Amino acid sequence: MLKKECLEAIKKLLESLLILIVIPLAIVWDKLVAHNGWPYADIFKGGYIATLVIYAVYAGATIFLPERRDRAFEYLFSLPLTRSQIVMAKVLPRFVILVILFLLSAVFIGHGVLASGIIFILLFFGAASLSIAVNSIILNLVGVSFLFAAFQPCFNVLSYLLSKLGLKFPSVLAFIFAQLCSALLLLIPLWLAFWLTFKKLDVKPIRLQMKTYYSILLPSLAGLAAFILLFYKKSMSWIIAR
Amino acid sequence: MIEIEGLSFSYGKTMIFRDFSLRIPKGQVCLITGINGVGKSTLLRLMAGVLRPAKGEIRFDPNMGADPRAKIGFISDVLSLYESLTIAQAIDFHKSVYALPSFDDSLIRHTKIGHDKKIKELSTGQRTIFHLSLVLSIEPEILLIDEIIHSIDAYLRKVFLEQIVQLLLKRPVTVVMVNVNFHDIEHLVERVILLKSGEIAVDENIEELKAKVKKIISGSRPEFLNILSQIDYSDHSEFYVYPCTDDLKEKIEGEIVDLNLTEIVSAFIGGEYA
Amino acid sequence: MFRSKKILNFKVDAKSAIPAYEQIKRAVKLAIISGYLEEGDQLMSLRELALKLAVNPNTIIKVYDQLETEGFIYSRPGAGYYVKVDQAKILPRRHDLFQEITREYISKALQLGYSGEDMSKEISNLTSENMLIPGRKDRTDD
Repeated sequence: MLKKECLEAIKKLLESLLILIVIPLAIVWDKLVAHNGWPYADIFKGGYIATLVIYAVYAGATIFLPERRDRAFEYLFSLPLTRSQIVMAKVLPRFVILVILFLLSAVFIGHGVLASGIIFILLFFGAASLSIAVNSIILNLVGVSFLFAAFQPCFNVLSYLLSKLGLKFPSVLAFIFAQLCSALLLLIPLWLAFWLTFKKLDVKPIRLQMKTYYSILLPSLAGLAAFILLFYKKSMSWIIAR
Repeated sequence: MIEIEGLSFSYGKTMIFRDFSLRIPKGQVCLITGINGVGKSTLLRLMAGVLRPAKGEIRFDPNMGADPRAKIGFISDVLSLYESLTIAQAIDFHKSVYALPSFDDSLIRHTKIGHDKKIKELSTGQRTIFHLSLVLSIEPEILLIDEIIHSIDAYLRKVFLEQIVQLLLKRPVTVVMVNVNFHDIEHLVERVILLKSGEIAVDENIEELKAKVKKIISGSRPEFLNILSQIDYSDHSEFYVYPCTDDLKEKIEGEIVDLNLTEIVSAFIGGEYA
Repeated sequence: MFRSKKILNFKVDAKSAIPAYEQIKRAVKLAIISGYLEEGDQLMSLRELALKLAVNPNTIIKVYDQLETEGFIYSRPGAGYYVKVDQAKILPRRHDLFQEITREYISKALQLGYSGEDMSKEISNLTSENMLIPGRKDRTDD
């Protein structure tokens, strides 16, 4: 199973790399139309980051694409593989490629990028956990966008609370730790919902089985929203004070 | 051996099985039938481990290992496979998942299915035979076949059945087939189970069933017999009765006619629609 | 005592109400009673017959077991099943079959309007001209 999933992961990477076509297009645009004088390096860096983002979401959202497209769920579930083994085999190669791409970005773009690595974890695992909840990649993208939008307020509140607990800001480690906590706060309910649903997933039809998923997700997110709103004002004033 | 105990399962709000139990001994060839939608395919999927019971247990021979699916061959009614893969790729995948040392592709070669063809390019018959060869390669202790035999051409059907007989000659494999058409498989079957509303309505050996289910052609209704269904004509009626034991036969006024399996099951099912 | 296997051209009728094992048993018995299968002839192996007829091997086992119990065949361990012709048993059954066929012929001929005399004449004609079709014995349909 792992070998097939590795090939799938690489396929998704190559498909994501198609976005790099935007680099020469951007160059052409800039040279001939906009005349902004963007340096080539910046255009390349932008393209790379774009690829990274696209890969994170695309690879996450499509973990069950072969099964959906080929109607292979029944076959998959009849194999002597546990549900954990299946999820692991699907997530691992894609995550590894993501990590490699991300580490390479430090080479191509600069060490500064490394501090925002957690965002890519959020994008990837968020998309993956939504992969059975929604039918299309577009909807998945919508979900991931919400996660992304929720990340910043979450991060602000947590930074404030962590500083109250004695964590020294602004140090890089504190920064990363706060990011990690925010991501986990968002990802844990998502993955809990995903796992409980997937463990019992029936072969057809998937959309009727989302009860567990939403019954975990919606209250968690509501709770999270309440939590954030509770501390939002205080955290904003703390940030401004810094 | 398959042992189902206290099985409960629902599809959304519809309860398909409630406290369902069934024991199929090792090496028995069993037919599960019933009207469309009664849960035959669901039962097969539960046996295959594709679906998980909400309540209850399904047990197998302990020698089948920690994950009995390694020794269960399941052919679903939709012939579920990764259809974007080529034959060669699908075989590789199958081999690696089941850790098979080798793969006998003689059946595939015999039916001239090219290794480079994608599964979705195969005809239904070819896909069925391919699926069968995948399933046989794991040397299954249990074979579960859902309703695919009659949608393939006569020659491939013969090939398919031959493979089943060959398998039975090699090992006491437990075979469970779900069918609503029996002509070809009738003589492989030892036991007939008819499902009705999520329960077992009939569970008999095929010979006993043939002995006990009869058609009575008579002008008068044999009230002392359990009538499954009847067809009325202008001057007489046909009564399908079960069980028609020897002592009751003497009381019958009319002609007693033997029935084949299709007619027998039809009589049971016909009763449901009346 | 080597004899080539005689071919039993037989198929299990899926539409029949008679169970498969019964059909197979009757076919083999008929072949023995009619004299097509003779003493010492080897029957098709279990494996061959199961494959040829596409029936459950257990059915063939049952048929051969029952035929052995009833004294029609015997088995040589590891060497297959062979026909046993017990004249004391076969002859009366052969006679029964002969009478059954004759009765059937007579009733059909009567239905067509022919008399007993017509039938005797016709039979003498056909048998004297040696109109017996060679190889007729190898039809074992029921």
